[in-house]
Amino acid sequence: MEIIICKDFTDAPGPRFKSQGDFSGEAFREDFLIPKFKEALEQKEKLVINFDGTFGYPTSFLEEAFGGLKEKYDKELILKTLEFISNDEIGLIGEVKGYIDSNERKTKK
Amino acid sequence: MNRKRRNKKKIWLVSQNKKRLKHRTKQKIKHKNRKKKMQNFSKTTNYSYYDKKNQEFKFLAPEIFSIMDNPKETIEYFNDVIKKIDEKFHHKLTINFLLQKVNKITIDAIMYMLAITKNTKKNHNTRGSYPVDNEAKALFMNSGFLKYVYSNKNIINPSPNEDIQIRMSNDSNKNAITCKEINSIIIEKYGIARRKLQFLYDILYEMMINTNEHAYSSETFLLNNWYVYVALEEQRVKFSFLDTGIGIPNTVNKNFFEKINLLGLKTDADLILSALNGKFKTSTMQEYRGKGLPKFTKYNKTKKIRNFKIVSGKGMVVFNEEKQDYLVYNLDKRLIGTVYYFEIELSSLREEN
Repeated sequence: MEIIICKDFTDAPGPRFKSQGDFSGEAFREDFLIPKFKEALEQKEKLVINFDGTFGYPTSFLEEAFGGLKEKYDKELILKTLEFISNDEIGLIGEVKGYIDSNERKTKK
Repeated sequence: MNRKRRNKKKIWLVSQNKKRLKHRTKQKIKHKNRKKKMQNFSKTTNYSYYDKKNQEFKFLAPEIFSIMDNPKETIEYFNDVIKKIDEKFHHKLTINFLLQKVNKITIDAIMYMLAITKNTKKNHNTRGSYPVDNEAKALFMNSGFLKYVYSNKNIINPSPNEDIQIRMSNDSNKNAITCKEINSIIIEKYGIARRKLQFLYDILYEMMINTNEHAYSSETFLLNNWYVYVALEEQRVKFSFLDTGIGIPNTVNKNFFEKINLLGLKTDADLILSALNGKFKTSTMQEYRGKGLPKFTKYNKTKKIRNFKIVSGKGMVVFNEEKQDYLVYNLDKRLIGTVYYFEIELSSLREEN
């Protein structure tokens, strides 16, 4: 199971919240990431997130999309279920994992 | 009977006279205050004088017209203009930007002039003159400033170029479009792989969204816009970004007063430096946010961006590559807004990795 962001969502990711503009991290999380994540959990599969092919990722987009997942799911479960591909920007995977792993947001227990 | 009536009339007349006297005194004071205000308003300053014949304010720009290279005079100049516009008057104000003495100009000053000319909530007209110096004139004409104003179309640009001219917006939906456009132009012009510029998309976008979300309050009379200009040179690409909001120090001060005291931060430059080092999060009070400014530090240290400078409020911070750290400067005059400048070396983008 895979989400290719540049094909499934946009090649020019936007702001943090839906209220701030189109193609937000919040919209990606709610409309793509969470439904696919649920499906992956039900089918006991990994969900692969492919970051390649876009023009770039605003920090706030990534934090809201992936860090925000912690408000619904446990961070260990998230890190166990998600797999990442980023050949364009190697450091991106570490950055995203950092947002998931950090204690700065409330984690669902 | 008659005496009673006469007395009543007398009392009435006295009260009427008192009322009239009160009214006349009020009018006199009002007139005096207005005259005083007019005298102050028309007072000549370092950079301005009032041309009575043409009924306009003329502002003679300093020889080095640059917020980054000559912050003292340039910021004082703009503050002079803003002060005049901000003073309330019944008639429309005409502002004349005189640039003939300018022999060095940078894009930040041109963008700031554009902000004052085109994007204010106040009612005024603006006019101006070109720099006489050819290089300054070329930069001014290449900036794209003239696209936004009525101008003499017969003036010839001495050296046109392919720079990405000034873009401005207050629509957050335009942020991604503009960042994509800038990246695409650079990719096409220099034959660079798209992935190599992803970091640029990140920082440009963050600057724009910060302007939309944090830079403005009802206290500023300038509209909620960001401005960006990209100079495309042979070996490097140069970025100038500006907003005319309340500035990073004020944004941080709004919500982190206690933390500022704890950290012993006193000056605007200290506040900017701390924000760059990730000591404050945004004015949204949420700890997981505010990761935009610290990204500059990361890209400075990894040399993805070079010659980074930022001016906001009364502070200026410059990244020194030898020391791999920031230098801070306290400015005499307060800039309304924030100006960023940085460069990308094309050789580093062309390296195989």
